[in-house]
Amino acid sequence: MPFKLVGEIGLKFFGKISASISHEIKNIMAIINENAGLIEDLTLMSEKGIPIDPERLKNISAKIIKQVARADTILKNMNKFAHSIDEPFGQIELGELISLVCGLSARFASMKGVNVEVNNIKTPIIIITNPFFMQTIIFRCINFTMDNCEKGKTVFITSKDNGNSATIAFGKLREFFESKENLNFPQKEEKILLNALKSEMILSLDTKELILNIPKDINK
Amino acid sequence: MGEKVLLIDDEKDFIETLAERMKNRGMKVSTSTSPIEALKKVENEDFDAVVLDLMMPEMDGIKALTAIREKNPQMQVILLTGHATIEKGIEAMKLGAADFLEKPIDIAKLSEKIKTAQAKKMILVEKGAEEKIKNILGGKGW
Repeated sequence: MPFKLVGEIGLKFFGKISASISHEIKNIMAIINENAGLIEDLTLMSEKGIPIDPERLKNISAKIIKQVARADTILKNMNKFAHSIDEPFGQIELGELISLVCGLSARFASMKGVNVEVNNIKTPIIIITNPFFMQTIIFRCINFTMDNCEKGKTVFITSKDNGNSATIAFGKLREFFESKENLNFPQKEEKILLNALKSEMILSLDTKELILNIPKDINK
Repeated sequence: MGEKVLLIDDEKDFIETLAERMKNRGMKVSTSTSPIEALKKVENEDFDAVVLDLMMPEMDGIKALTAIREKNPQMQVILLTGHATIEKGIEAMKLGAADFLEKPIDIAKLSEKIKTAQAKKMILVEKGAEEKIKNILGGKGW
């Protein structure tokens, strides 16, 4: 694995995801802070003789619980993401990895006003690869598809087991290109990642999908 | 009379609760989770201050700030952000933001900034009215 070549790309991705997570956590803290402040307001009002409606407290509590659950999901994803750097090669379940990258991309999708739908097959697809760089290339594919998807703005991701390899398809790309060259993808950084992951990327004009072909075992 | 404020943030649970707390403090508060919808509100209604989140879908806060200031140059906009970087702060101030606050918010600080914004806006409105009168009087040649 040529770490020197892909290291900078990986570090950039790590920074981008970390910044996004910290923004999300700040937003969650802001909501919890306002709800705690509202309880304080209601308590002060009650000291002045205005009774507290128990329903109001129930609503505030529900809002706080909702935000704690939101933070928990984000932090669980963050933990899995951070540990993906632990080993250069690891056995991973592809569907699980795609779902994780989708979770990490949720804020970017929301900013772009795009929905992301994952249709993983029920049978697990086990692959041996570099988990971190595999996440990096999947993230870049999702990002590209989000910027170039069809109207209605939903990115569909499907995975397929091909025996010795696996496929991830990202669609549907909008019909804006006359030739694949116009898309300008994959660019230099994606090409470095593809080379490191022994994978290839195909733009299918027929299915309007970006297809990522990956080996089941990177060491073979 | 309390300050008239427009809160713009895509986090519904955040602006709903903040609006309630601001109303408890005597302010008249309108909310919007969409910057595009908020721009329409700014066009049709006058506010003492607009509290605007920097990062939103549809339109980022800097673009929304520019659009608000184009529609109403006297509008006082206080920007909210998860991370108040110096670069973003400078950019916002250059584009005419009245102030900049980091989330989570201290409501006492926000209230103070809204009061300052309201006072600044009143001065600008008075100045504008004074200039208009001067122009009318000068134009008539009395």
